[in-house]
Amino acid sequence: MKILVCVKEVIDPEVPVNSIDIDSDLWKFSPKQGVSKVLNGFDENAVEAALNIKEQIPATDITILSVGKDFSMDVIKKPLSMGCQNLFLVKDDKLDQTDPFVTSNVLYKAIRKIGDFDLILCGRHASDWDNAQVPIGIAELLNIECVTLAKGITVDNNEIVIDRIIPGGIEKVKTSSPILVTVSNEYGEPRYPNLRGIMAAGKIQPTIFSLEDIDLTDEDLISTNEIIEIFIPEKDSNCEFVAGEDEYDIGRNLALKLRDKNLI
Amino acid sequence: MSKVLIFTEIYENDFDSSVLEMISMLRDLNIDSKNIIVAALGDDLYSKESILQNIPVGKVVGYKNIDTNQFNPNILMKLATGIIDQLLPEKIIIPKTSVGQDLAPRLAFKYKYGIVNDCLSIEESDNHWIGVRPVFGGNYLAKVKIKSDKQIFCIRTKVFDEFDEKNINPSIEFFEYEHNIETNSQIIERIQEQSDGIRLEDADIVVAGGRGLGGPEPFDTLEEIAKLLNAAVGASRAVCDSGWKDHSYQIGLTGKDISPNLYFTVGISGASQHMAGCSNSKHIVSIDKNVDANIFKDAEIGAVGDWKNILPGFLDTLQNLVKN
Ligand SMILES: Cc1cc2nc3c(=O)[nH]c(=O)nc-3n(C[C@H](O)[C@H](O)[C@H](O)COP(=O)(O)OP(=O)(O)OC[C@H]3O[C@@H](n4cnc5c(N)ncnc54)[C@H](O)[C@@H]3O)c2cc1C
Ligand SMILES: Nc1ncnc2c1ncn2[C@@H]1O[C@H](COP(=O)(O)O)[C@@H](O)[C@H]1O
Repeated sequence: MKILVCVKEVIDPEVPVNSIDIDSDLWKFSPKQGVSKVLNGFDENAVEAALNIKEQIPATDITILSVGKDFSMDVIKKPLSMGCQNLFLVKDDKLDQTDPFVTSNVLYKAIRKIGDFDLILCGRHASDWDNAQVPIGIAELLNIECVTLAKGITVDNNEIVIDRIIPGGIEKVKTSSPILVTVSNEYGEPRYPNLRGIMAAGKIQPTIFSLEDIDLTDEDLISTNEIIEIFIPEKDSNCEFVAGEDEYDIGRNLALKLRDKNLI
Repeated sequence: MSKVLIFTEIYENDFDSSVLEMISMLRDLNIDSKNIIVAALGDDLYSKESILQNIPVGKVVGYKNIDTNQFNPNILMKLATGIIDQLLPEKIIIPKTSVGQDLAPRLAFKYKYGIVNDCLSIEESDNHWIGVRPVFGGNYLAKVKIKSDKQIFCIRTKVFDEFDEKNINPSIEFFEYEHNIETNSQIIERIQEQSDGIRLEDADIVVAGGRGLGGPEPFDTLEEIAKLLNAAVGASRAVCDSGWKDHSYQIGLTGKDISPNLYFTVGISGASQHMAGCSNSKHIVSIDKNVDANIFKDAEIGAVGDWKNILPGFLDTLQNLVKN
């Protein structure tokens, strides 16, 4: 089975707001010195899903694809150290933008260049812009179907069954290759790379494409949206803290206060 | 003003109430509900005409006798494209429900509509609609303008109050679907989690716990409090990812959206991705040992300290209050 996983490097979503600079001309985010980039969390879940299929069907080959302006090799190679085989990068200064249409166009053309895949996996969304659009764009351009929000994926010959998250439960979706699936954190924790994996990853050289290599046209790079402003939402916090003689008493007073305010 | 199209889901006994929130939002933009067309998605709509009659807009359209295979997104997509082909709307509003958030980008890519996803509101400036949406998990807000005239706005639910004028009734038009509705992906089974008690989304009071609880056991105390208050229990993602509670308990950006009257949290730090699912609660009340925890920026009442000591005082008092 041939699996492609699309992964994105993002600014660590757990860092405090003030560790990111906003460029107010171009409305771009950049991490301050020392703030790390990480692999988008849901993309690690997608890599884990691919690796689980490979464990079940050893003749599986997993290719990683990422698009961006620049990459930190230790971040982007993580899927290789987890156990994936190939790495393709599309790298260009013009790819420093976030428009999902543009990103989908680039990924689509790169995929056409790399080859056919039975299964394309993506994260449910990227934790920087929270768009949740690129995977659907790729599927639309490739003219294949797409199943979002997988919690489980089972492959049995040419039949693929996806446990898809819906409100209050899951639905089982029966489908077949080629198909694009987006993976959610409910899939389960991604594995940690082990030493052997890290050594193996060190030996794999990424294939790096330029925009010309994948026949990208200027039209593919036109963004559909314009960002007018980005700002940090104001919060006027005026929390009233409950006092008490000790913590038990604070709990008691908290209950009384809630009754006082008719909240309970 | 051109007409605006809203997509909505029609269930067995009712339409999805988020459509009423969308109408309120459009009302704030001076769109009269008579100028709104609702595109209804659901099974066998012909037999549900009485439900469609209750949607307070100018017109409702939908396909007559379709089996959507339990709202299969790949089938809904075909129906939605059929409706767009008929009506060629410029502006499309899609509520960010489970169905809507999947459908909106599909339509955008198919028809080369511009899209702003996950809007909290739409602002008008120089006759242009500008979507206001959280990014980076809600740490920032971005104002986004779509360059083309063909625009889709996917709007977060539970932000706007439901439109409640009852004396508007739509004209209804049914279409026949003439293309092949088959898809490669079929929903073969739905498995609903058993929930004993009140649904998180519907509860008037939600009691939620975070990583600060340290394990699954303290949730028993939260369940006990919830029972006394007739409340539902929720959790942060840290709790669900650790397996202390099932993911159906998760509140937040990638979990459930709630807007209870009282949101009561214990040991939740209030990360922006968590607050994304609960900041529309009317009153937030929190227990956390860290006075600088983010949650206190949103909370109206706070108790600082170790829950292990605070909760017993709270529970004892609560039991007395309830008894009387
Ligand atoms: C893309 C993305 C999506 C996400 N989606 C969601 C989502 O939908 N929902 C969600 O919840 N999170 C989500 N997160 C995760 C989020 O960023 C936080 O990591 C998470 O909400 C933290 O959970 P927590 O508050 O329970 O834990 P922590 O942040 O660890 O907070 C624990 C709190 O407990 C307090 N505490 C500890 N011990 C005690 C004690 N004995 N007594 C009292 N207080 C104590 C601490 O002071 C602290 O404030 C998402 C993250 C990303 C990147
Ligand atoms: N620049 C990129 N390179 C590779 N994959 C990407 C890129 N941007 C988005 N994706 C994929 O699309 C998913 C959803 O991203 P988004 O639509 O931006 O929220 C991510 O989890 C990735 O799997």
